[in-house]
Amino acid sequence: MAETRRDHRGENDREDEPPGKTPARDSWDKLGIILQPVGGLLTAIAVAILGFWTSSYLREREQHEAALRERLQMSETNSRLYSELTSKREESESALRKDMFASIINSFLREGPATPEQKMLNLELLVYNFHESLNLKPLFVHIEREIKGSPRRTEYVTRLEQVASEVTKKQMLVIEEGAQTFDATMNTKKLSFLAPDGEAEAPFVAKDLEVEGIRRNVRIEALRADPETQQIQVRVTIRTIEKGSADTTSTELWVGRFDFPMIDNTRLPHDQRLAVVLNNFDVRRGVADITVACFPGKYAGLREKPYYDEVLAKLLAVNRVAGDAGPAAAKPSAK
Amino acid sequence: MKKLLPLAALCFAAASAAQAGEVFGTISENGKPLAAGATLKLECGDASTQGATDSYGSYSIRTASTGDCRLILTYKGASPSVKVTLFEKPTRYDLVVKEEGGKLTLSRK
Repeated sequence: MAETRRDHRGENDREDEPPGKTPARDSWDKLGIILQPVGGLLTAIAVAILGFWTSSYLREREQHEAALRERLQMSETNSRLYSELTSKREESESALRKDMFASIINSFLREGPATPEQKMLNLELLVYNFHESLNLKPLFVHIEREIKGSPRRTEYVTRLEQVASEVTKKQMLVIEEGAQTFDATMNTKKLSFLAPDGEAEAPFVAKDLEVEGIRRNVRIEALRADPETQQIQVRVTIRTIEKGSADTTSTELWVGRFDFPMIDNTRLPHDQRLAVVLNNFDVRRGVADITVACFPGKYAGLREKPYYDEVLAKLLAVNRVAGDAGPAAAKPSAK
Repeated sequence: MKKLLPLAALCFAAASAAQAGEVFGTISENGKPLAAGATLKLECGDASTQGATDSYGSYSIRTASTGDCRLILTYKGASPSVKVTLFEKPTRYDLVVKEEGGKLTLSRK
């Protein structure tokens, strides 16, 4: 209030001053005089700083993007190189395998004096290298027939059984990674199965197996046994319960020592397979030990071609899952 | 006679080797493998062989004979058993221990 009064007095004083005389300046006037050029300078400095900061930010961003682009390009180049190398290796491997397969299979088909030993060796080569791609049961049976009159028959049969057993074990090891299995002992004389406690006997054995969320009841019924060829015939009944409705399928199959699970299996809906493996057959006692495996189709042999509708259904399911996961994944960040 | 003796010995050895059986597998209870050290006894006729589970609940017992045998587990103060059939090749028996009416039972998975 006093200040205002003083200001008024100042104005009156200035009015009172005679013309031509420089009016007296107070501190505010002086400050105004000083700040007038400094204000311009400060604005210029602020504009310069802002400009420098913006340009350095843009430069940094450009550098970052360039580095990212370079990294992406490098990764693309590496991937291309890797895929080229892989495909070339696959090509050369395929060519080698093709030549190997042709020469081995010709030794069986060609009429000539191949000794049983040579045939056994060729069979072993074929089995160890192509057991995931070919059904070699006919070849096993053919060799077994051919060596019937050989003086070294026992040795050859043992070798055949050893090869078959080894391949079955190898394949089961792979399959069991994604499979649900159960074992059962069959009385081949009474055509019955031992109960899990090993005491009671029933004409069939049944278990629930769940693979990839699909639950199936698998029932194995003993139909016949051939001690001469060491094979058993079973009826497999599969009951799938899905969305409230039950679907039942049934098939009969012979299972022997030379049936390999990756190749000799039954195709089920949803790209799954069911295989029955004969682990042991004691002809004298009349007992056989089997393993039943239900597994995803990706573990089946290379011989099988995929069903395109199943492949499409799988791709669509993957897309659907990705689509569902998208908004769900975005939700927390939106919060 | 001298020639026949080694041949007979060889035949006997081969027959003995062929008769050897093996049972192997895992034992679980409520979906979990059994603790290590659970004792197992495989009785085949008069002969018996002992074994035990490892930390993964796995076991393996070899015996000189094949055919019907009984596998006895000593666990929680009880001795549940299961009948097993041994072949010339190793036989897998994945077993499950269940408690039914206060009694332990052993059965094939």
